Amino acid sequence: MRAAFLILTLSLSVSAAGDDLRASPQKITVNLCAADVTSHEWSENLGGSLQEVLELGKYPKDLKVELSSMGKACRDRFVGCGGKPNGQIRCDEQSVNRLLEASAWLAAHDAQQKVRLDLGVPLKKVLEEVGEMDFYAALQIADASNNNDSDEVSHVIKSYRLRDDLKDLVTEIQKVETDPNYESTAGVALWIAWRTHLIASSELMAVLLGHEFSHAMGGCHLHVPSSVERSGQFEKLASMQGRGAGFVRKSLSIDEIRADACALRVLEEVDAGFVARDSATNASSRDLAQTTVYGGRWIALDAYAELLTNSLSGRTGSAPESHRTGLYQLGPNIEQMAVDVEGSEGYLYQALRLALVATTLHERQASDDPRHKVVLCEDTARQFVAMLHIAGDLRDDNKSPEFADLFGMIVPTGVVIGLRTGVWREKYPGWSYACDQ
Amino acid sequence: MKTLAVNLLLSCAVVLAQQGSKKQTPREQRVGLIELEATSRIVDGPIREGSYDDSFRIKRASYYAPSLLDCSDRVADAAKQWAKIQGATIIKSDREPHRVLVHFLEPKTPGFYELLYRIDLTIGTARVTFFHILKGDSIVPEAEPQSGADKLAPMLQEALTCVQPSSSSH
Repeated sequence: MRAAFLILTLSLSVSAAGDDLRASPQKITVNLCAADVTSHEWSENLGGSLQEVLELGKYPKDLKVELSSMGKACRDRFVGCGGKPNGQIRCDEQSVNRLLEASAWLAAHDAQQKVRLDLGVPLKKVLEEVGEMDFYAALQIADASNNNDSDEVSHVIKSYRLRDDLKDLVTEIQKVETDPNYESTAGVALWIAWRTHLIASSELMAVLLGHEFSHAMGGCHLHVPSSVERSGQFEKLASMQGRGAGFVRKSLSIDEIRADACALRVLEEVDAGFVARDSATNASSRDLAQTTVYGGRWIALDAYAELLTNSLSGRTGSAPESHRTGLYQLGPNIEQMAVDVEGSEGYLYQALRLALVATTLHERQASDDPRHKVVLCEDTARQFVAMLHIAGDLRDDNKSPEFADLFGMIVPTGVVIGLRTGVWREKYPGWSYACDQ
Repeated sequence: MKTLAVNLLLSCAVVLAQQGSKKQTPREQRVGLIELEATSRIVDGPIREGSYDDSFRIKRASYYAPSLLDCSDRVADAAKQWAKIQGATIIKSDREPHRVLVHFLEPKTPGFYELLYRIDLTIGTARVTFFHILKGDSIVPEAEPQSGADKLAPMLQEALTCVQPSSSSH
């Protein structure tokens, strides 16, 4: 049984707070609500990533944020989070919890891989030893775990040929999060897993809460435009949707657009904060630290894509067995898709929201290796393409070369070919959702 | 006698309508049903409740309109269409450059409705409001019937963010 009532007051001591918003509430309450009382262990640990968002995101230092998890049902059915100018934010606990838990599983798996690769084990052998895991596999485990179905958890672990001790590593992440005095013997693997998870969950929360906090505060506390604003891409995409140029015209709320812009600024600050911490570490551990930033971005992007396709399109909890992460019937032929990812009235199309987050993270340097750039590939690319086909005002021949130009930077070469040719068949030359090597 | 009463009621409504939205008299209640704004500028500004704003009875929203145009024709047309659908009578209709003011009387509904549209192209903002204006202390706003007003919101939204200029644009 989960705790009946939990209130966490986060007080901040940030050195570089942004400008105070006049007349904005000095106190924000994040209320977690849930449809039932199944496990919510991960969302109850939201305090860690929330603290990072507030500190690295340069929120005013006198802003008090209260996290309340009362185990009560949401007043009405919704997913994700919603914010009001009176300082009240409500988050659907289940939709947040499953993303955080899946993030932890994938971060732990990343750590198992990284440790072996650093020991010089060939990639092929590493994959044989630790199996292959993607965000969908992690979600399957998270959903089974939330349903207290340990048999299903074991089944999924076995079907992806994951190591039995992966679960132990995930448990260790949770212990580190909940107990600052916890001393683990898991060593470097745990450090990688924990930090990757912290970065992933913080960056996901930066996007999610960065948006809602701006509603709750009545404005954005960050006044420096983000990279996508400076490049003009943000306004270009919003203008295209608002005018019905390239996309099916759909009205845009100025408040939602500004809240999205603020979320991207917060994301950029949070990411920059983690990178800055890397530069403060010594050279020997910097590579590991950079790995966690890079891995954290990938997972944050996966989680955000999942939130947009599955959760915000009205589906929460376990996806049916035959469905992958909201990609209902999205098979080899794009016309087969039957996803409802148009998004709510007033918002940017979900494809555009995902593209802006992906571009923001893509443009940030993760490491000394210039190839370390996150993109939308594999399942996330499938989700993006599905969303793009719903938002886009496509030509009869299904070709969308203008999308290839707009989004070519954040998708693999194979997807660019699909956008240019309008052909989405598995065996078409060059077409693929696979990440570029 | 009945005709006299109707005429008296209409006269009162016209007097009230002439006062427009300038000042609220002590015995006048203005119930905000719809407030829609459009702006052509994304630049930093206040961030309100956005899609979940319920501070007006029917709808309150601010839209981003990348190419903001004078849509007064469309707004006036929407007002006429709505009046026809509702069986309402237009008792006042003022058209000026960048401004539309319409007052309606609806059968069986106390008071009258006021629609006001204004656009300022120099600052890139437009606003249309729809109020139910009641007079007399005995009328409680909460009890005021709203039937049909919800149909006007999407019509006004479409008109406010029109993509073709009005023929009377100045």
